[in-house]
Amino acid sequence: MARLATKPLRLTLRLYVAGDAPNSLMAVANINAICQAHFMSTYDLEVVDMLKDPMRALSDGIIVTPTLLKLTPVPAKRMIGNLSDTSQVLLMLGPA
Amino acid sequence: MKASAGPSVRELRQRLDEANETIAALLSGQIDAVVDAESASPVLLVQAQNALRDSEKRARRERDRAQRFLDTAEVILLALDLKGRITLVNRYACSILGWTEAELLGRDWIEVGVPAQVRTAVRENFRKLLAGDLAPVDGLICTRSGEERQIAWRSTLSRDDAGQIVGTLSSGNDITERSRAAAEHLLQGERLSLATVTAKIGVWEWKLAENELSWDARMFEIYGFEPTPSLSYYKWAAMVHPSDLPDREAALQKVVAEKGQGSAEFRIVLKDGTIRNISAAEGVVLDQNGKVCRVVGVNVDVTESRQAEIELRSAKDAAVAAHEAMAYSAEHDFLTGLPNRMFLNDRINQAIVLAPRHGKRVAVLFLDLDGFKHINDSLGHRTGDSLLQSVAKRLVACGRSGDTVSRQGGDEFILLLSEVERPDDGAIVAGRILQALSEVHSIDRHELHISASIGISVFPDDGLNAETLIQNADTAMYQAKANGQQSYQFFERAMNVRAVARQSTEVSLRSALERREFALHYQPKVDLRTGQITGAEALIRWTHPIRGLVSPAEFIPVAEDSGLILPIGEWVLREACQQAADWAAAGRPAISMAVNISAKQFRNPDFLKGVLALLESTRLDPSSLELELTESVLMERAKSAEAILTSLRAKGIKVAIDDFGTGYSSLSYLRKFSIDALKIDQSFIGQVTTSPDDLSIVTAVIAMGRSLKLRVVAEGVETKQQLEFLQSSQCDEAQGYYFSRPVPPGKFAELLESSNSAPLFRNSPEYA
Repeated sequence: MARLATKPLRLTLRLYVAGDAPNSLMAVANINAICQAHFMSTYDLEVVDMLKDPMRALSDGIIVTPTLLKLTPVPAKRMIGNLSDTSQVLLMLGPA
Repeated sequence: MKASAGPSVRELRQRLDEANETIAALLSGQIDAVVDAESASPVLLVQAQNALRDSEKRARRERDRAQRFLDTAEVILLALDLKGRITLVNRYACSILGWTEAELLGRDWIEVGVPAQVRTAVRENFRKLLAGDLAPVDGLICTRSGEERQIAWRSTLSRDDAGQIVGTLSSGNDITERSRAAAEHLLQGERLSLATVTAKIGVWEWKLAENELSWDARMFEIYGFEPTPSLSYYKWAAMVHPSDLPDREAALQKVVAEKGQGSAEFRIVLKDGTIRNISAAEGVVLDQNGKVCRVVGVNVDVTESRQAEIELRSAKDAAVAAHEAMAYSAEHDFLTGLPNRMFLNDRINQAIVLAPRHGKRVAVLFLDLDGFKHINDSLGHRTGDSLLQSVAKRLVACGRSGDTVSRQGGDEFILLLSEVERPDDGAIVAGRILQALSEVHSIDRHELHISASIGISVFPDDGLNAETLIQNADTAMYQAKANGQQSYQFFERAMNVRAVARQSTEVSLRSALERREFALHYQPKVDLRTGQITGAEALIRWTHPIRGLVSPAEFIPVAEDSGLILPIGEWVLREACQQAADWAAAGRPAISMAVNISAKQFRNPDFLKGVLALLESTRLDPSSLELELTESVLMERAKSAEAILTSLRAKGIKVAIDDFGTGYSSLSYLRKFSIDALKIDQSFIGQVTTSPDDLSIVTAVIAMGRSLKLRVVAEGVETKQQLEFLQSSQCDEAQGYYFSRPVPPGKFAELLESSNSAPLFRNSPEYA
């Protein structure tokens, strides 16, 4: 616990997209831009194409794309849409 | 039973939040795909669209859903089939257009929603769109009430499963308010703030990428032509007044370059040629990238309100222009454009104030062309004028930038050298001028050579003001001329003395006629065969009350220059005629009375009339009068001289060429002019017995006179040898001291009386 307290968990994100559909591409671009700007390289982002792996989406309870999941640090959160509202995205991701 | 059966309240709230988020995302169009929970497979919304289109029911469902979604946005959504019929229109579009959805579906969009004046253009755009040109366009739509609104369209093509284009899908933003807002913002400018003009504002928009202009109805009204969809920047530019276009274009370019605003006034030319004044203001509209995509502007026709102002201004301009022209012509010589004397005086006075401050002097060069009159008379005034212009040019080229070249009228020029170190500098310039002028002037196919004489006066040495400096330079110029042509001369005090003497002579001359100070003396002309007196030459004598007898050589030039020669000449002619008539009436032997006529007299238009009137009043037989004219007098105005001579001789009056041999001695005029006699100048006679040259000249003249049947008279015969030579050469007549000096009339009467019985010379036996 002490270790975790001094070294917070790395930001882990998972983004569900639908191929190269417009909102999906925009969401990928937006989250990358926001993370680069605010979290440097201290984050992990996994992009999952729902069209190729629908079951994985279902297991995560994804019903629409694009959807962004914040896995760590807790609390886990999700956000739907193309992530064009930077301030809302930052609010969800928590302090850097 | 407690909480294990179902989700907690917190879980429920979270799901609700998520559902709301999902709906919000859906409504905002940020969703690409949904997962069909039943089939557990994702469905792309676009795929769903295509799939649903097969079935009308599903299509309507899909459309309804899409429309519900789209209805919430303030975006016009319009789908057209290939023929331009409306297949989809959202609620927002309906609210703007004022038609219901049912009224619009299936209708030709361009017919129902596009203003008539731009329909052709919109059809063309639609065709381009179907051909794949998806560029955003701005365009006008027309509502049910006739109101026009400006829409920024973005379009895409809708395709069926096979990829075939089935129609277009366009979304449009109503930018009317934005355009108006931009325009109104611009109207804040002082220029357009007047309430009276805002009523007539035309709004335009210029899309840079497409180089397309959109005008509202008022613009077309202002520019006076039927609304047309195919407006381009060039069409507008073609209507702008050519003088105003460059500024106008520059202003527009500046607005674009600086992403700013501008305002200006310019003129447009309507189809019927009417010119209208336009007050304009414009500003740019930036796209998301901050680039200028459009320029929005307003035009206001301010012709009426400007008219009064313009009239006022143009009247003022005209007055100013007239004033300037008058001021210019008052200060400049019309022919050469050089400053005139008035202007020069100012410059000289200015220079003599400035030069001493820099330790410099001022030089005034007075220049007079030599023999210009001859060129003017023989080649015509036009050639003379051209020559003066050529001279003016060379003079200007000779001066430095601070110097002033002016024309005084005639062939006189004055150069002001505003700052010279030493008086000699004036001589250097004078030398340069003489050199420059001496080079041939090619004028009207003539190769003209002209020389000049220059007089120089220097401030402060020769005068302290413009008037004195010019006068002294003028005096020096006369001296230069006397020294020989093509020379310059500095002013010297002694010249001034002569000038003063000349001045006093002129003053005295003016009163001499009234005071009867003139008298005529007569010198006999003798027939060289008989020794009898055939005539008399009337010669004027002036006895000044103080100075005594004044030489004609002294006062005749002054009389010529001052114009006094006219009344004096007239007096001489009258007196001589009267005398001759008196002698004739007294029964004296008939003689011819010779009177010298000066150039000025002969040039006087009334000369011929005056002579005839005189003959009438004195009752003198015209054949008793002989007028003596010098060659130069005749040559100066050869054409009119010819006519006058012919008239004189027709009346019986005789004409003799005086001082023959000293002037042009052109043989051609002897035949051209109607004359009776040649008088060989006394300078030839004086040396006829000592100089072989003069001898041959005199012999030739006599021979020539004889062959032309002209009487030849030798002047200045003083010796027996001369007389004998003339007799041997068969000269007709002679006069000179050998026979008699000029004598008063009483004495002449005596000579005349006695010459019948006692000839004035005794013939040597060999010439008898």
